[in-house]
Amino acid sequence: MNCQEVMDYMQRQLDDDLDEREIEILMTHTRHCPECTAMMERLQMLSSGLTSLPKVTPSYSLVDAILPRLAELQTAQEGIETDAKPFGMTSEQSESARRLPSKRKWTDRFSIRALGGVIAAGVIVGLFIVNYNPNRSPGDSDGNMTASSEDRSSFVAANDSAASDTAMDTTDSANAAAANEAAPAEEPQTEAAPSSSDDQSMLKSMDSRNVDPNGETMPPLTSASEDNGEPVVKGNSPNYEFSGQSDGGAAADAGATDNALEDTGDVANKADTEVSDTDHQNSIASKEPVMASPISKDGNYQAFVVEDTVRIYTVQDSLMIFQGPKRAEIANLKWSEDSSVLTYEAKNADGTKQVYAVDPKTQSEQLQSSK
Amino acid sequence: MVEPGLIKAAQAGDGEALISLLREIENHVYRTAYYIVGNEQDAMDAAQEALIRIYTKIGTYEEKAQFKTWVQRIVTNICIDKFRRSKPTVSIDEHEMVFQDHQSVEEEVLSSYAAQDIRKAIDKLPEHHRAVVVLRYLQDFSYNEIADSLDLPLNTVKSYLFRARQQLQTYLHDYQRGGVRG
Repeated sequence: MNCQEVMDYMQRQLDDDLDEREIEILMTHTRHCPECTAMMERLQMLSSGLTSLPKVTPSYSLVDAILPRLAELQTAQEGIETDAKPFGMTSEQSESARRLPSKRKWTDRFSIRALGGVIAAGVIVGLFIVNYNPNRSPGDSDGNMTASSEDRSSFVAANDSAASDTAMDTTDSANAAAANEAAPAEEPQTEAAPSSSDDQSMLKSMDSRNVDPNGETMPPLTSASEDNGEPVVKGNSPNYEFSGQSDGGAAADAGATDNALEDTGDVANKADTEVSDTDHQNSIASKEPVMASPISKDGNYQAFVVEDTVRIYTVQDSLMIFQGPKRAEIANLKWSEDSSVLTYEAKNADGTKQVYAVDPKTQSEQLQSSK
Repeated sequence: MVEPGLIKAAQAGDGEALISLLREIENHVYRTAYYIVGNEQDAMDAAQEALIRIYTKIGTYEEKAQFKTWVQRIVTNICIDKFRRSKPTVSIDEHEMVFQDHQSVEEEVLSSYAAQDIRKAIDKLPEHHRAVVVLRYLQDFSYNEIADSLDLPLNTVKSYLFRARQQLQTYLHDYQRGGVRG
């Protein structure tokens, strides 16, 4: 056997394609042929190098990125057919799905059970709107720490207890703390809250939940976008859930209504399918909708808190470009002046507050400081 | 490996199953794209296009083929057809591949090749040879699976793979001897 034929054997050996007899032939040859031995070593080194090439993964979820395009395809294919549910997903993934316009027939999912919560939510939202102090200006939630305690506590209570009847006491600052504490006990009602009806109460309740976990108002999303003369409220924008904000929550446009109802469908669906997992269910219901940062000053990015992770989306395409790790009590999402860094606070496992800085360009996150 | 049940459900029009399916394969799709087109941005574009094509064509998948080879056929076709590069470009800062210094290795016996060098060498291969290598090593495909994916006869796959390895070995050996790089 000459060296050229042996070369073929060597190659096949790299793929474990030789039988025992062939291995024997190969070995016999290489024992007496230093050149082939050297070649075989190099090929084996190459092969193991190829095997250990980095198993690269995309820097963001490609499926999430193409969901809007899939939605368009679906719409194009099926016209206005309403029964398709192309974006139905597992619970972990539902977040991104709910940001997208889809043609899901939400009425199919609507449960009678949710209706009670809906009515309760409507009542609470009504109360909330009455108590709501529109002077709370955007962007200076810290400065508002000194706002009247009555106003403040009504915020906290109305948000923590969402649909709970105890929120009715919120105008009375003395009762506010009690209302707050009572909130967890009212969980079942709270969880029904997002399952709103087809009236406008849903949109209003969206408004009422436009606060961070500390009960502080988040800046209205529309302020930044108006500056840019670029309306943010679009059907497939991740921030559609706040769309009622721009016009006082009373008269949202039809698109926003659709989206809100979409959301409703999803939550109602969850309530039906995840009865066994009450904790999870509660977390979904009580944390919805997501908390949002203002839009970055350059108008390119907006961050959201979804399932205890910070996620940054591009305003233009609603693409998720960054997702941080799970952290507790994420708050105070802020963009730097030049829009290059998003900072946010979160609680460490030991309870200390830490500030993280995210660079949307490099999609990386760094611990900035601990308090 | 993707569950057959999930594929069936996706083909039957279950949108939820189809999206789950795409999520399961997206890393595999991206990986192939990355090593064939040679840079992150084009790989993202190619992989997204492949996933969209899979989304729209899922109905045309037939069970007689393996699902993974069907998927890889789509992504390799897209990479070869649409992202064919006019000239080889090499970027060294992606995915933190360390560019090792080989200035003084002439007399050293190296036990391995640097990943970056291997990648650069792969980039020099003709497209089909590159695709064969990528499927063999990044997807761990057998000769037959590669043949199915690339629609090539088995013997052609073998000869491409063998020639590609021979070529890579030559490039890398030259690097190691302190010869011309890149």
